[in-house]
Amino acid sequence: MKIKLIAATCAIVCAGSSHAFADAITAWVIDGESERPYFEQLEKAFNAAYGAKGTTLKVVPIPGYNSAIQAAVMSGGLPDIIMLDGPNMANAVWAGTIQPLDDLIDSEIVDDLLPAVKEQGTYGPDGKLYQISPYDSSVLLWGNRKLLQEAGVDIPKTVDQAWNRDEFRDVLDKLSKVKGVQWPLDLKLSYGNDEWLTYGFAPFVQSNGGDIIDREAWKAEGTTNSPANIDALTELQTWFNKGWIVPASGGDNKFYGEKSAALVWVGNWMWAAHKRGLGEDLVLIPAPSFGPKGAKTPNGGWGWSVPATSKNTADIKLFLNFAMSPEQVAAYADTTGYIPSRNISVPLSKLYGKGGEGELFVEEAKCCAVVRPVYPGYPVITTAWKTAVLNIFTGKTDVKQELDTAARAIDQDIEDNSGYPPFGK
Amino acid sequence: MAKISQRTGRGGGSLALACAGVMTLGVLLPLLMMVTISLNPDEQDIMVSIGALRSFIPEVVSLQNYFEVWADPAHPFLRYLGNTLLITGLTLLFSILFNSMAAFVLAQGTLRIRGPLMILILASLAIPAESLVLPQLIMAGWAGIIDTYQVQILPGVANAMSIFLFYQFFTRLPKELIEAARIDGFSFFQIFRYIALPLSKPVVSAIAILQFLEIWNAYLWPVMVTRGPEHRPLSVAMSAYFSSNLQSWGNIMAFAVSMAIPAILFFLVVQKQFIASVTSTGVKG
Repeated sequence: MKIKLIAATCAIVCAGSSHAFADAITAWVIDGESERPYFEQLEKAFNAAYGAKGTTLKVVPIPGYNSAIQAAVMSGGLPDIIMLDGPNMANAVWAGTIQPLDDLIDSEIVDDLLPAVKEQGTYGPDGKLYQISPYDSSVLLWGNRKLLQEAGVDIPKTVDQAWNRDEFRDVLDKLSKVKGVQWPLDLKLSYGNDEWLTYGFAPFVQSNGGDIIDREAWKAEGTTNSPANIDALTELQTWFNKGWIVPASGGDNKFYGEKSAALVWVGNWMWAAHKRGLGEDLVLIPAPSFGPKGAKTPNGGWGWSVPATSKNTADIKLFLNFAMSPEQVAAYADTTGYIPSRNISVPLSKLYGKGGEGELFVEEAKCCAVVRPVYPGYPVITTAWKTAVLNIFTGKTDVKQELDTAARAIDQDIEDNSGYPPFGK
Repeated sequence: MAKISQRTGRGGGSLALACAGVMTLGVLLPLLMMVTISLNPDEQDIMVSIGALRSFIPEVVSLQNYFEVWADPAHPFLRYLGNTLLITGLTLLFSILFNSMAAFVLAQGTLRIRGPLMILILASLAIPAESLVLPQLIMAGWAGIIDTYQVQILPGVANAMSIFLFYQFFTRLPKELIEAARIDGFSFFQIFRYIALPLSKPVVSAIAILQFLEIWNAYLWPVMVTRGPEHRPLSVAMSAYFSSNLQSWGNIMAFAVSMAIPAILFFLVVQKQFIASVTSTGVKG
């Protein structure tokens, strides 16, 4: 009787244990209105596929995400999987916060990534992948067709036809004379002292042959304040002083709301607002070619990373391969308006597939994207650059002086950190 | 107003009134815009009008944004409201209780180191609260209380400003009153419990209002120590609306108004005592 009782107890415990010991993995994700429906779908789809096999996923949207991640790094308690913003990846690797993904994701997925997305997630010193993003972002010129037609402007359709600097200047001049156009161009200075000032303005200097730092010597002096950078930003400052660019105080809605701006240089995240505001008048125009290097666009965004403390690698691998499957990558694009990060997913996306409204974004992402520096000192680089751009667009400061100051601040930080070894060795 | 005119002459009175009017408008206009946008269900219309004069004048009155915010399954507003009320209420309760006790000991006790202790407490007012966040965070991690109510309540309990305000009040209590209580056989704690604390109602109200707003609107600490929605307060939940490039201003403003209403109600309830406290401080101080 006693043996039967023990056997029965064991049976109950063992039966329960298959559930009790089912692997549950947790992923922290950014909490945004446009991303939320995708993450809800991801959790449901993953659990439907693997729940019965013993692996379940809990997706936790976190408001104030960067602060929460920094806090969790310090106090302990990072989950199995996190999302990291591309430019912050190198710093997280350097600080030992995250682990390589090479053994956690199928190589065919990595090989299929858009080049700039792969570059964004790869850490230079060891060449390993630490972040993999389901999407890419890009920027182009959005136009108000009606106002452009009134100005008698030819609208380019492909990157090959992109306006060069002289043509762009001429377009703005013509638009400035159209009735109802208060500002020909909105460069989204209303975003304020935001990452946008690096993300959105670096392409102008890169197109002109410059960059925000020398990516081989990791030195700012001579590159951040190079003649190419000074030239490009001086041109933009001149436009600003002519009243062609919406000032920061102008607010966010001059293009899609008031329609007093005819063009806006901004990213794919504004799809919904622009479509809602302009309807059939909305036209997508390729990024301008601002100099000898041709059209350049920014890229990057949030992607999956695995904390160094995560041990449950088998289930994490299951998750990463699922989240980066062609269907999930396409779903991310169609839900959020971002560009699919995998070539195989592009045709599956309604927005970015052949004939889709966002085809031009994919073309740009493939041909012209320049990754922001994958370097541990990036937070300081971007802060110094943003400050310079912000000051330049008050219209009163000397461009060279601002870029000199930025270069000094960046080099000082690199020196303070002994060149961020193993970089610089 | 009549008194101002008598003191400053008619011209001065008009100027003071104009200044007061401008300042009042400066405070009220943003609030008016917040309410106006929250009542407009048409997001496109909001985007067109935002910043223009008509974004301050309600043309449409609809509670649609409010219903969307209150019924959003991804962000359970009522849960967040309950969390915030609980955290604020308990922090205030413990803060008033312990800080008043500490102040009474410092003001009326016999400890020899009362003076140096009070100086230390006052000196701590000069330390920015943000600089304590990191050590507090690490300590919370050691204590294993991350993502709990405790971690959001405990750091707010000891408050140097509260101790100082209570201390000021308790040092001014008439000595005869304390002596009489002692002669009647009251213990030190009984004097505090039955005489000092009931007399300090205006101070309690002032501290309650000042600390209520501080805790109700706290963001940095809660965002660092909360994870899931279980213990998340309203201030952190609201930031989710700004994490995306797709912003729904109608919902954001409806959330902001809904978050402000309890604070306004609380102020209305305790304002009489608060004003009495401020007035008495002004007269005697």
